[in-house]
Amino acid sequence: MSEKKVLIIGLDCATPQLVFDAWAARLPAISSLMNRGSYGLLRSCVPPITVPAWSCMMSGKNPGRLGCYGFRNRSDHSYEGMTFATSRAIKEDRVWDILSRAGKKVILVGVPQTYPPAPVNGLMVTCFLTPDTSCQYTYPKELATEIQEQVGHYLLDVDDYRTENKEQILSQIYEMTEKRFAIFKHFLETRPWDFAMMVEMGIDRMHHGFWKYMDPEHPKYEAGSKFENAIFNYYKYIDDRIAELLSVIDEHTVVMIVSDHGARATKGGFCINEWLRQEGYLSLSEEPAQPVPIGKAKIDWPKTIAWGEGGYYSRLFLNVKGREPQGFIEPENYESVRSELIKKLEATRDENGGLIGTRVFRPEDVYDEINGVAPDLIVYFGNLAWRSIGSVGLGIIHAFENDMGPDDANHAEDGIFIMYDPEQPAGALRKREGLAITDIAPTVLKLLGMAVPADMEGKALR
Amino acid sequence: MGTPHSSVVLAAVEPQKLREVAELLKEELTKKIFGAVPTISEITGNGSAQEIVREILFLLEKNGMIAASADEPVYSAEEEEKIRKRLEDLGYL
Repeated sequence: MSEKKVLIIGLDCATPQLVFDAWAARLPAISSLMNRGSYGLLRSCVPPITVPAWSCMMSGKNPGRLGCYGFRNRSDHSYEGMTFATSRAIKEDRVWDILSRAGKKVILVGVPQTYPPAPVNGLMVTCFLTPDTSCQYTYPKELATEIQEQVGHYLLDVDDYRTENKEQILSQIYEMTEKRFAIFKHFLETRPWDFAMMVEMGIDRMHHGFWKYMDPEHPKYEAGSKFENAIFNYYKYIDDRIAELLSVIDEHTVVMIVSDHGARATKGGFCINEWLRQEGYLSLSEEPAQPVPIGKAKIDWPKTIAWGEGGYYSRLFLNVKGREPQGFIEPENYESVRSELIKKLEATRDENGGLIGTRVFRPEDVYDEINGVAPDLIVYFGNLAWRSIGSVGLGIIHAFENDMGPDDANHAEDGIFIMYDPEQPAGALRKREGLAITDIAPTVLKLLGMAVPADMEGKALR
Repeated sequence: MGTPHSSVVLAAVEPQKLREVAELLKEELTKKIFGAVPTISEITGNGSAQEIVREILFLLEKNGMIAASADEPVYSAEEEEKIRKRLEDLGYL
């Protein structure tokens, strides 16, 4: 029986331009793995968002197959039925389900879309979709007591993130990270395991909160800020924590460091629903007195063709007769309306009239199977340089403040992949090309001597 | 790793039902749980084998050993609002 183990350190939003290019020489633990193993860009799913990306990674399946297109998904074609994508939204096996059934021992800490926890052959600490630690956030349930004893109050995420009090955010992020790594290390040292995985959210929170202080290209760059090195210092802190984890694993352990997507500076916000109103696609029965989220706006459905969701990308939904309760578009016109919208969205411009390079996807063009209720269109404004602002009543198309508060960064399509296999000599495969997020699950299974299910779309990396 | 639940105790189950209960339980647990065999000491053993199994599954679920039914809402209204606010604050929505 193979003694091989697999350890995955997931760093949500870890960015190749920073890890591989800018700072590798100053991140000794990470660069040691890169130099002794292999690394490359890891292309995320469409959309490159935490949910569904980590589940795509660990199931080897795209969002269409998972029927999960974002943090909230339409449960039906009504106008109200948006449900959160918890662990129960994932009906497909993730790696730990397969390994558990095969009798392999697993340790999971903080992997998105694991709340509410489900039984595994080992243990699980859930993710930031857990309301708080008064809920059952571990499997088995008793594990919560041990966590409390080891690290005190466990932080699932940062509270009150939309604040200008950056010191407070920093403090919380460091506390969260310290505890997550500490408890994960504790489990590595005290439990038998074949597969162990943790996901740290801190890098994502740092990027969104501190990017403008670091990047001279950012529209709101603040030269000489005391937070200028906040992101680098945090990456260095993470590198030190990784070094501690590496000190407790044995010579049979394959180590992967992965991220679900990258990051880039936010240029601004594109007010999708205000734009739809301006173009005649969305009608309100009552003008809001102040900006309100689209879900709280009084939409004149019989006169509405399309509406959109806000976030790091946009999802557009069409109001189709016979499908939506008060549909507007005749089914036979669905495709022509969609094509017209794609053409107009791809031609969207910035506040100075310059094309922003918006990309628009039809779900059927990017997924080989579509389950659940997919958006009719998926939109990356400015190829993700602009976020989507869903509120109405703003009276503008281009916003330079997020409708929810400050946010310096958006997501980018490429995350990081680093793998060190002690049994694979370094050299020929050092820089890898063409890696996809769905490659991780089959790679883990193959490393652990398991058959890769035929319906996993990724490839097992050697 | 030792856990507090290392044996199954089916107290007061009538012997003639035990085999049937055991078979049904094995089938259900194989689908839902890995290795961690629970202690069940609150089973009354009254009713049919199917009812006893339902009682056992209820206890497993109550003690967090198996996932609740997929039909049950994950969040209370208050929890859902908390998650929505968190995701909005984090920029995801």
